Amino acid sequence: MHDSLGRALWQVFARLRPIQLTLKLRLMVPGEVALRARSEQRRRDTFGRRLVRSRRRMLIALPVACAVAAAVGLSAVPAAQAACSTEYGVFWKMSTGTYGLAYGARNEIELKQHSIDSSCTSASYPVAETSHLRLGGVDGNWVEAGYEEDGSATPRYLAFAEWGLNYTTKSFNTRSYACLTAPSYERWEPVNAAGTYNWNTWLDCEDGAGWRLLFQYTSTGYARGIPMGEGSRYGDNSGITAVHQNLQWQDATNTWNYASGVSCYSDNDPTYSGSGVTASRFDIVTASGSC
Amino acid sequence: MLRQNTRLIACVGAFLAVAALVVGFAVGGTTTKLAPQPVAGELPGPPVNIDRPFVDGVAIDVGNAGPTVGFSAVLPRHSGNLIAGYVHASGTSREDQAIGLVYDNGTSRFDVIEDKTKMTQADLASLAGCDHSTGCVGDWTLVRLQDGTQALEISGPQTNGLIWLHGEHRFDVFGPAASFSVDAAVSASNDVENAIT
Repeated sequence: MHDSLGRALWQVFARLRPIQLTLKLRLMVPGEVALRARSEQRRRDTFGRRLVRSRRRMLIALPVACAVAAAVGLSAVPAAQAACSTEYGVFWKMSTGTYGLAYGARNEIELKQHSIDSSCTSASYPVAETSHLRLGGVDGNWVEAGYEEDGSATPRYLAFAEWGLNYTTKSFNTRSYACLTAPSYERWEPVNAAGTYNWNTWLDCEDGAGWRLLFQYTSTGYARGIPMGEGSRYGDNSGITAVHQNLQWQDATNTWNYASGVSCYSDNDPTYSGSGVTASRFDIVTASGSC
Repeated sequence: MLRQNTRLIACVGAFLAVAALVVGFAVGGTTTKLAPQPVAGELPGPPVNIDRPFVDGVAIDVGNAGPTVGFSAVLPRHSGNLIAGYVHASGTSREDQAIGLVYDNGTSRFDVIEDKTKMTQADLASLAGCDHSTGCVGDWTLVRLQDGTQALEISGPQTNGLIWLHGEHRFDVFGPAASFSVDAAVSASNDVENAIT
């Protein structure tokens, strides 16, 4: 019984061999140890004493292969996770003077090609710039609209909007527009629908086509927020430099007012920081330090 | 017999080696492909700061918050130690004011935010449900507090918490998901609700 079970296992092992041969380099090394041990056994199958020795070698080699394969395979995990999953963000808020919370935030943002960390795949969008509000002035509640940039060699840009409560995203939507090409400037706007807790998000490509409605969010529970501009990135070597200008906020009469000042709200980015340029403009530049 | 055992051991070893290779490939390879990437629909929210519930927060003696916000803070009795209390900056209208309390229950810090709102129960209920294909993150579900009040439970990768209405007041209790479990959020929320009634 043992013998037949062993033979069956060998057959399974033999059938898996082609799979092993297709494994990537980091798995080939332990794989070869096992395969070499097996071929050595075959070569010496007719030489009794050496057969035992080769089997002993195999018995040593296989656990080694096993351990090395597991170690190599598992060691790849933290390296992969650590790279493009690291997020940094720079948030600058607008001053509304004595008005308090605003009904909308408008921000003209530079769209450009940024450096993208090599760990971020072409399917990811590691860089984002937004016009942003913290709903109710609560740190964990927000609505925003802006663009995100992907990790491909010739970058693609998507318009997106998002909102959430308690630091948890309720909706996130994207849409592509031909007008989103670098270099350019676009205006982005999340704005409250008067008399409701609903928010509309808009894009103006400044191409003469006017404002394009992006996405609508209903029943957020908030009609006002603290207006901000944001640059966020994933990956240590991704970049977020951009101009955020003509920052405006909307009051209860649906009037847009230029920010009377800008100031850093939060900055956990070790490489980039905001720099106030005028009362309604800040630039995200290469600079260490936080707020 | 020795030969049979040797072959069996060798085969089992071989099988384990293959299994290890497959597992190593599956875990390492899959994680490489699926490592958290900022793909469309998976961007997280703002960075969590439980110690700062408000963007424009001003520390306040909670017992004296009434004149500023127009109502007295509800203080949970059994949820831990009150670390700090905040209101929005001066100049904020009464309509927009709120009280933010930071508690420490020994395991985690968490926030209790109270404000006046015109949000309706229907508004709150409409937020239940989470379609991950539209970028929603975590679980947004309706639950009931001990006294029967319906609450919106939000459990995400960053926080766990409950939002509910009591009259014209809205309560929001949440803490970091890593240290403040859904059960802890429910317990603290019941404590807050019981302190009202």
